[in-house]
Amino acid sequence: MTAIERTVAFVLADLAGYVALTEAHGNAEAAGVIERFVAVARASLAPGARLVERVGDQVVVAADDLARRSRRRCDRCRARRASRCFR
Amino acid sequence: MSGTAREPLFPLIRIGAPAGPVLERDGAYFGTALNIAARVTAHAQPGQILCTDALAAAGRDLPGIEVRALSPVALRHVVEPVPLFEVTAGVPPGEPVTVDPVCYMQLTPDGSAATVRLGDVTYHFCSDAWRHRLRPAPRGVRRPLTHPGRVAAGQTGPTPTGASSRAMLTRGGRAMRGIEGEQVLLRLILSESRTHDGQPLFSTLVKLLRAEGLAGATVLKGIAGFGHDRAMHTIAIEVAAQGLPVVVEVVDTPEQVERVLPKVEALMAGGVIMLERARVIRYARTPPAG
Repeated sequence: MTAIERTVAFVLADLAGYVALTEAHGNAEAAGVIERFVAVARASLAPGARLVERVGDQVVVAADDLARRSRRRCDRCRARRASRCFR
Repeated sequence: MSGTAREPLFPLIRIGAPAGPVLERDGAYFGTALNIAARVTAHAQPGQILCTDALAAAGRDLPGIEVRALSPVALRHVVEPVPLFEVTAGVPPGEPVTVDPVCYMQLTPDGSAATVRLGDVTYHFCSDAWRHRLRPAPRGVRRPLTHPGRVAAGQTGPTPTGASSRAMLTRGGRAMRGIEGEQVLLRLILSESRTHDGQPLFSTLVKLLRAEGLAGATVLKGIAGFGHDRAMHTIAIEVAAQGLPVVVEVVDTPEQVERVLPKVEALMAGGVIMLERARVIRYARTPPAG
């Protein structure tokens, strides 16, 4: 059993209004939204970040290189801005 | 956040991002940073990213990222209030987006399945199933939803996209904020009979506080008291001459209260103005009766 003490950044993201969404749209559609949510979370992972778990409508990501992770997030924002310009 | 914004018909998400030393054992993490993650996220408004000080420091160095300090928040079973920061990425407005007030689905105004107009606000719904929940509130109280515990309402018209604007779900055109945590209580004591422009002064004060976007104000009527002039004011004596005391209580963030304080002082020109520390445990809309 290995145990290491380290500084880790956690990102816990959940869907606002998921209970209401399930009631209004049904289990199948709500499950589809979760699948898309997990896929987006995976696609957004920076090097050094990993999806630790998914419980209900929550995903937990852990990253131990804060600067690199934040830079990656920045790059994504810039890419998004650029893509909007060409729409 | 930006990834889900690109997804068609996707609800708003909330993000909490604490960081700190944890123990990693066989791929599992143990420590405060992880323990408070769900509580930080729960404190976020739909569409909002909140982080703790460790990530805020890292985020400040990054181009295009804005980090704004919020008041520290008392989290359950955490001894000290935790300073929280709102993170926004400067994304320019794109396609107009409105938000379903029930399930927080992001919609384009012409892509909504149902719309309801109440007063000057149009609510867009992603499905017809919830529309019946929307009823006008009695006595002119703006209470758009009978669904308990919900405060958000989508606004009509083009709403700029981007994390910060998504967080500004509005009710009656005014942004709803969570003010749970260490705040200040502003207490004003004045005579009921004081007037300003022909209106009772306490009424003018409440209107000012509302217009300034403070979280809330309560006016209490005193039944007896004495003040600077040492004269007793009770229901029995001097009612006509001086009036009974009224107390206006306001709780909000220190920044909000300090911003409004000079205007309150100018209006009061007398009376008592006090500030107290206050820990807000709950700031929620009163559930509908019945």
